[in-house]
Amino acid sequence: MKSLNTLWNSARLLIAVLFCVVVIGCINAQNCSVDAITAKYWQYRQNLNKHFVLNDIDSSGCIGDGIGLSSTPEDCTFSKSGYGLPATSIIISYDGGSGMFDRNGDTSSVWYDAGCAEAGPDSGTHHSSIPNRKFNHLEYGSETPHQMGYYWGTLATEYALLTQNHQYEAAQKTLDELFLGLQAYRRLDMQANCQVKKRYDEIKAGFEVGNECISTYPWNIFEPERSCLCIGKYVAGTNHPTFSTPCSAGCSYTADLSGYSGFFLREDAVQEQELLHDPTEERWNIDLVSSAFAMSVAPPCTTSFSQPCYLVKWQNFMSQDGVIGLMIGLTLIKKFIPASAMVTTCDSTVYYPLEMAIDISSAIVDRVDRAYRNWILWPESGNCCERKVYLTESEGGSMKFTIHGLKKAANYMDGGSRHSNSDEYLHWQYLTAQAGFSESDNGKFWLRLMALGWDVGDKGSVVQNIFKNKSEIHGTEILGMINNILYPGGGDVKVDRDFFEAMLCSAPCSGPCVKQPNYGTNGVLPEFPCSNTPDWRGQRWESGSVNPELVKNRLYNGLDYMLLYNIYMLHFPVQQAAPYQNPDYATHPNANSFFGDDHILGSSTLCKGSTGYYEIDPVYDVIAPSTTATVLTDIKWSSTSSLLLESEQMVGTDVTMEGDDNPSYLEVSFTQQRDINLFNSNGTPVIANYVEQIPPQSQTPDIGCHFTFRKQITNASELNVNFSVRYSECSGTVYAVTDNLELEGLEYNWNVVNMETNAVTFYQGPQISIPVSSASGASGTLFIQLTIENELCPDEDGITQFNIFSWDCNAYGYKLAIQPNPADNEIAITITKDGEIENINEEKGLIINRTNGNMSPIVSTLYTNGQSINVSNLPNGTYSIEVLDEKYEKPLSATFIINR
Amino acid sequence: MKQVVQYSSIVLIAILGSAFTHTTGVLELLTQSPWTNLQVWEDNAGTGVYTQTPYDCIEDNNWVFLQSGALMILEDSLRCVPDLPQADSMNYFWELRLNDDFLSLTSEYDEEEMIYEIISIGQDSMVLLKVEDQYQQYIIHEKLVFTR
Repeated sequence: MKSLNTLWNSARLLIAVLFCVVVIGCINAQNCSVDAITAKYWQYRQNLNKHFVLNDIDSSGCIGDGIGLSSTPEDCTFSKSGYGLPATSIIISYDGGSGMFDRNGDTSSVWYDAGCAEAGPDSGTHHSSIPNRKFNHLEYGSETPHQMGYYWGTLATEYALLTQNHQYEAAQKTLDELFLGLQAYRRLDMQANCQVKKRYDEIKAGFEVGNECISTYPWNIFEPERSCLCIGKYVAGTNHPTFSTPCSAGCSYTADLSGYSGFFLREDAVQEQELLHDPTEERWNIDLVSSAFAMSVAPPCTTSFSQPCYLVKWQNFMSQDGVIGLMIGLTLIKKFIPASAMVTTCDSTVYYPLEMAIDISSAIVDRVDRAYRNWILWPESGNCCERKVYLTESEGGSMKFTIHGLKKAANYMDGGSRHSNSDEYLHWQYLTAQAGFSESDNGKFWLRLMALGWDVGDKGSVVQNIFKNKSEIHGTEILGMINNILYPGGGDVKVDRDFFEAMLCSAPCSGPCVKQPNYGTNGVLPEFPCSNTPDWRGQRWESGSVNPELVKNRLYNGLDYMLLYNIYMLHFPVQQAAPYQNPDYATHPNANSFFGDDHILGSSTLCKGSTGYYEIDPVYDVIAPSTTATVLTDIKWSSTSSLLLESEQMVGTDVTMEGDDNPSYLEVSFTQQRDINLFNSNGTPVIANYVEQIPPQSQTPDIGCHFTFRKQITNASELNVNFSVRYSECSGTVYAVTDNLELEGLEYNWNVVNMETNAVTFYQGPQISIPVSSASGASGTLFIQLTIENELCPDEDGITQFNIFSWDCNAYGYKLAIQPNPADNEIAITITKDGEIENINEEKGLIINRTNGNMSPIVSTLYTNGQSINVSNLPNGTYSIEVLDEKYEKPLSATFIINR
Repeated sequence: MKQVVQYSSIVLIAILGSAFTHTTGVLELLTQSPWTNLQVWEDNAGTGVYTQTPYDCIEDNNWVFLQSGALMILEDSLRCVPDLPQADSMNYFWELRLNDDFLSLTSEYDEEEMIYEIISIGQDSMVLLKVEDQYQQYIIHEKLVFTR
């Protein structure tokens, strides 16, 4: 009986597996190559810049300062409000008015003011209460500083990966964008100080003053020349009682406009960000910018009120959690942006982003550190008001639990040695206990600051265990990798590579999103394809995996994925075998390797006049009954001018080599749809659980993964033969290797003449080893000729390149190599030490002598390695060349021959 | 020669005796019973003038120094993390340094030391000056005044 049960269970398992494979293809559905997640990264990046962040870059690519402070700074007007800030999400709705919160709705409310939505480039067609208008709104708010931190971190790590992959032009664009992000912080800093000044000026002018605050603080006696900092309607029943403090009407305050005061607004978005509106798809249709700041700007708001107090009411000034969010980005800038990396704006002003980041970090942390018990102080309130005004704990105004960690992170930034007092130290221990023993959100503060301020891998097991366990509970697993990257060497935090790879794989190409079960039943909502993918239904590093925000219909900015991808690539550099390439930049210095070239099937060579067939190899598996043709859309083939395409929109196309360019490039962009609905982030099916959470009517496939792939096509008729030669440190071997592609159908024939002995040797293959004398002080010269026989294009045989290489086995391992370039009548001089190119940092004497005839020695100077010497005036003959330096045992010498 | 040895012995005994007495005194005073009140005095301006800073929740903590080198900081009525019972008793380690002139504290969670110079210690009160290290390279300008 037992065996029958076992058999039945086995059979059921087999049936389940077969069902899985045949019907829904779950085993293969999770195949994610590095190409796939890399392409997804750039798709996210494009979405981010197109739909979530408006940057101060003109059509020519010239960048502004991202601030736009008026020419009379004391006016405190900024023409670039909201620029450089990543919106958290696009909230899908049929009525943008839902983004106006208290400025909309109850018309009898003191806050009602529909005019607040009136400005913006699309004025008059935005918010409407008319059904079927299908308006969305762009969301900025309390999350904005966190998003800024992730944005900066993404850009800093992107810069690192691009430079590591020699993508310098793209890297500079990334740096420009990072600069604008940092300028956005500086603008928020200036804006905050301007708001403080504005409120003191309002009190001085008698605007919105009164004794309403007395009801909150009955011990205050109202005096005619004093008013509470913000009157009752802004603070009554809110978390802001300290703003009831009476302040003097005679206060003179000058706003700090340095951008480095350390006191900042959370966001300053305005309706101008409506420029991100994109009418091509209803989900990208943005017709209202939703933010506390946007709802406070007059005009367009028409009601008379205090803007600074309105921002207090909506808690739009800095807070503890925002500061910690920013520090994530700042520390990654410190790690990956070199001090010399600079940005030049349209007006030729030069900025250094690393320096800016350090100054921002110091300003914020030191300001809080100086304040009484690490509270956030309202500027100048100690002099202007009855007592100092601090933001309350519920406003995130107290940092006594976190300042110890913040100072550690700030020390990482600037190498400082900030220390903690007893209270700060003890409170940090309390926070550690809180992280360890509770699931309070305060644990996230501890986790983030631990990751930034300490090498967690070197901490004791108790702390390491808290860090690891709580990272999983709070859904901040990425912090382990970040810590390992910030603090290399020593012990590492253990991270689960498979977990991150599964997450990267499962992320929907079209971006994180959440869609309600009853979405669209009223027929008036925008078309909103959303895959509701587990783990990617919110801000993953904020809300974790178990608490997706299911309240609204939203498209998120995807910065959680982007930061994860970059951190993953830096943490596991072996993955970088695939070129990290921004598809917007077609050229790649390592021209032999193009992103996605494996996904364009076909020969990498063509002879002039010949035709080859090229076809897209889909990135994700195609599951029957689908076919490649049915899952690929928006196919667009293109090429450089030497290639003629038969079709530009099919899965495959004939390509004919018509011109003489070499190399040529084939490019294809396309969209592939994949079904990822039925899988969890670890690749396992979650059908039952999933359906329970998100009913089937809201399931839609991942609507499209975009790819742009390139393939180099070599014109085999026009091979430009090149090879390089290297002499291994007195080993008695010279190595020669072709720089050309090792193409099938090519034959490499080498002819080598030892100029000392006149011995001739023949070799074959793309790289060869030539034995020479290895005796101490041995020297000699080789004549090396490479001929590539071309079977691919029979008419093009016998292409050759020759070179003369000399070696000299001196003491101390220094070598002098001469690389003649007969066509240009130049020679290049290279000095190596133990096989590595020597870094020449001081001038060296250089003498050229003719050895087979009379000639006065030519005396010159060698300044740098690889330096070219013009020898066009020298007649045919044999020459010696010597480089002099005391550190060489004797002059480095080599010979060369001129035979025109 | 003999006389020299005798003088050396006397000096050595004097030194050892002094150290022994001092160690015993500080150790006993530190550990004989909990310290139940704490005042924090700060000199944020660095002028040498210390003013008392109220630090609510840590002021009524009970500091229990055990001879084993363990220190328990027990919450009283003002609790720093009211909703976390585990924070009612926090574990630290203490150590006397350099002729008992310095007191080092470390948390069970954090090997980073907090070092204080013992300005005075008696039956009823103890005054500690926060320094960055036992060589006083960096002074926070903070004095902790404990009473029982």
